[in-house]
Amino acid sequence: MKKVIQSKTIKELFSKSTDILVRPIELDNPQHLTVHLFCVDGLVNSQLLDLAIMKPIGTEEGSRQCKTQAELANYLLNHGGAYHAFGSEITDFDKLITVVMSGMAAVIFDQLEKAIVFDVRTFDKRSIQEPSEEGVMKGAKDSFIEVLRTNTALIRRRVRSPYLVIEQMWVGRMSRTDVALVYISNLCDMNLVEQLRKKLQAIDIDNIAAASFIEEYLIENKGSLLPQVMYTQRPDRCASNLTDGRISIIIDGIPFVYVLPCQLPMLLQSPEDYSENYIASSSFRILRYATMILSLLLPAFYIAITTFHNQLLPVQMILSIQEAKAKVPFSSWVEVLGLLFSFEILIEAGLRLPKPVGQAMSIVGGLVVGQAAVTANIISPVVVIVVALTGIAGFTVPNQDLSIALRISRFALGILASFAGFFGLMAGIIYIVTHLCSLDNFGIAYLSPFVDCKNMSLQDTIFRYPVENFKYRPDGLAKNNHRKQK
Amino acid sequence: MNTARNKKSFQKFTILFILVVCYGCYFQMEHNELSDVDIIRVLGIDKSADGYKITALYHDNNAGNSDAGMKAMEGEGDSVYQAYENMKRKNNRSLTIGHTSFYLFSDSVCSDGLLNCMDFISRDQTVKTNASVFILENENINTFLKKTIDDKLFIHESLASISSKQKAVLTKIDNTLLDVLDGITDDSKNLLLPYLVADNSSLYPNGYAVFKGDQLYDYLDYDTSLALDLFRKRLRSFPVFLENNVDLEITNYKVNETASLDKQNLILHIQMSFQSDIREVGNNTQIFNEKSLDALQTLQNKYIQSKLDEIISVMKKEKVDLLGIQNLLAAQADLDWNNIQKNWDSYLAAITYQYNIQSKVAKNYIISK
Repeated sequence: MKKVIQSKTIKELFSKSTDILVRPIELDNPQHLTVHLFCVDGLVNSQLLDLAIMKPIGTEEGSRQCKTQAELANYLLNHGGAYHAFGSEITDFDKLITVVMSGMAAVIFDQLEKAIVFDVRTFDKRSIQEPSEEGVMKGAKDSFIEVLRTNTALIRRRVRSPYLVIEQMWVGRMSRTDVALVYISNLCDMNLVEQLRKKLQAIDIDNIAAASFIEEYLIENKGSLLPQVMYTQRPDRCASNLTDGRISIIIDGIPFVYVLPCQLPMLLQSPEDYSENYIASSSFRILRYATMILSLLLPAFYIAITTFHNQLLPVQMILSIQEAKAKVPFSSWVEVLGLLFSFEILIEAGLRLPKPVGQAMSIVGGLVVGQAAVTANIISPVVVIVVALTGIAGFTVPNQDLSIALRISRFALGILASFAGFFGLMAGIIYIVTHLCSLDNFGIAYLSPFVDCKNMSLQDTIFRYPVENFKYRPDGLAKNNHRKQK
Repeated sequence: MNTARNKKSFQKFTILFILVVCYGCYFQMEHNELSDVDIIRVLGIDKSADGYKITALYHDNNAGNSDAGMKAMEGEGDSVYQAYENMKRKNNRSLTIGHTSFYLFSDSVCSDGLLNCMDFISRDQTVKTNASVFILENENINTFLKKTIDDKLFIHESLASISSKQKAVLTKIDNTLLDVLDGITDDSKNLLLPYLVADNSSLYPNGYAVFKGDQLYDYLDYDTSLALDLFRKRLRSFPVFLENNVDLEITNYKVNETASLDKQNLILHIQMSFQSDIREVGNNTQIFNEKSLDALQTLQNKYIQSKLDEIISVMKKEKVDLLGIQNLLAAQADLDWNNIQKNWDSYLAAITYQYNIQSKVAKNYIISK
């Protein structure tokens, strides 16, 4: 049976919660009109509540002159009775509970079976700070925070188009987490918007505990290690992607924003690229692509070349490696994979430890253990160099999800190389390339614009062309409004 | 739904297939840890009545990069491959000729025919095709290499220096393994390989060994070999030592050869023009006047002509094509090369050579007198 909005029902529902306030407000008029205030202590701004709602209802002449609850409701909502701009009427019980739990205050009209809600939310929130992962020297230094409304405001400041749409809904039966779908309606593909909306509405889970809870519902290829949704902490980057025709998803409580559809070149772009000269940016991008490949292939390459194909090495190098490995009891693949595994352990430990201890841990792990292992002839110095270079190269990838995918993939390639040398390595590479080519994201190829390229969409991939060359939006997006610049 | 399921099944099948194939390959492929392999740097082959003897210089694993760790091993057999297998059997570790940069062949091997011992090397898939091949004149390679080990002389370094010097002196090197294999089977020219002379456990190049087919025919002396490189357009510079105590160096030269046929007689026109720099003027000779310089030019032309005459006399006498005339004739469309090739020996002996040598002496004095 559908519940109706009644103060009695609400009191019964929250009878055991001491932070839920359901308080009658009786007007000082002949009719003794009574309404009920419903809010959550700790989520509302008490001062604003008192001044904007309580005082007008209780003391204003206009309120006292209302003879019925309907008149009072009309007065509060349409005649400025409440000193608050953001008020709205709710007749759905579930919706009322959701909005009050998110921090709004409701005035319940029992006779009308409806409530008027006012946004008097307040809670301790982090101030807008510099992004922790996407810092730039010459760009803006603000980043998204955990509060959805602040995040939407940051985007609105950057995209002042009337076509910018921020569609809000909630996800999670218990958590009722606010989720906003942000897009520019005259640019993006509305079929995609509809698809995403349906996916979000179809999520039937109790609690959105982490961002990946929603992310996993959005992605189409769940068996792939590669990230299919990009996230960003930067409002300017989000705005830039919105104007390209992409769609953003903001989740309350998560200090970053998802952008999709996502392609591989996006994951290798850094916000710094647009702050610097295009030649410098292009150079660093080439470096990033090279280090991504290096990070993926170097350990396997080393295993293959030292175990199966040593003819490819110069003699002096072989002799150096032989001398270094003379007393090491393990074969090359055991050394490399073992050290890679240790490297992963160090990274994981570093994440869990508190900051002061974490730094000491890095020194202990990196220097002492590494050095001790070499001195004890457990591993050879060459392998330490290979793995260290691999690790450092991996950290140049701007997107952490992609970096994690690389870290896992290099184990697989290392195992293949240890079985069959370059043949195994090539088999792994072919599989990865095939997988990349077969991946698509809401109809757009993951490797776009390297594939499916119709117009000059390569201007912002490996090379960053001058801004005046950014004439078109990326292929597959904004089909009705493809031109970006005259 | 079926497409998605098919795609997933295909992905799983692909992964499984790759793993199975790689596992199978593991047992077929040669996998040797670097620490389990001995790297042969120099491989020498001798031949005697008992068969072939292979001597290899390799780095001792434990000594690593240190040259003090060079050792020698040997093997004998009726064929080169048998000798190699014999050597492998005696050695504790695996061997590889994938890094062998130098091959030394003795006179005995070359006289018998290079193809016999090159066949084994050419069939190894790991062999370095740009390894250098040298002939060791009048020396038993096995004895020589062992002596260098005993004397702690690093012969692979000497060979490396000789190769580096070759590259510095010559514009084209053609004593690599690949060139030798090509040359043995190429009927249109005589193979020329540099030969080395051993002198107190050291080696130095002394000219070219001439082959007919794959068999050693003769050795050319150093001067003739150098002049030959000049006319084959492979030298970067050429020293000229004149009787009037003036020494020059040819630094810039052109050699053009054309052939014509005159009533069944081949005529080879050799046109050479060069510029030389004065390197030394002895006995206070005054040469920096026009008359002296003209005389100098005439003298150096005669010098060069005499060098050419020496080469030609060797060619006629020994019936060897040192200048690559056959290739020149084959390239000229106006000559009936097929017909000439059938009677090449008689044509070679009867070739008429016509020279035109022009030169210029550049004034060269940094500290003027």
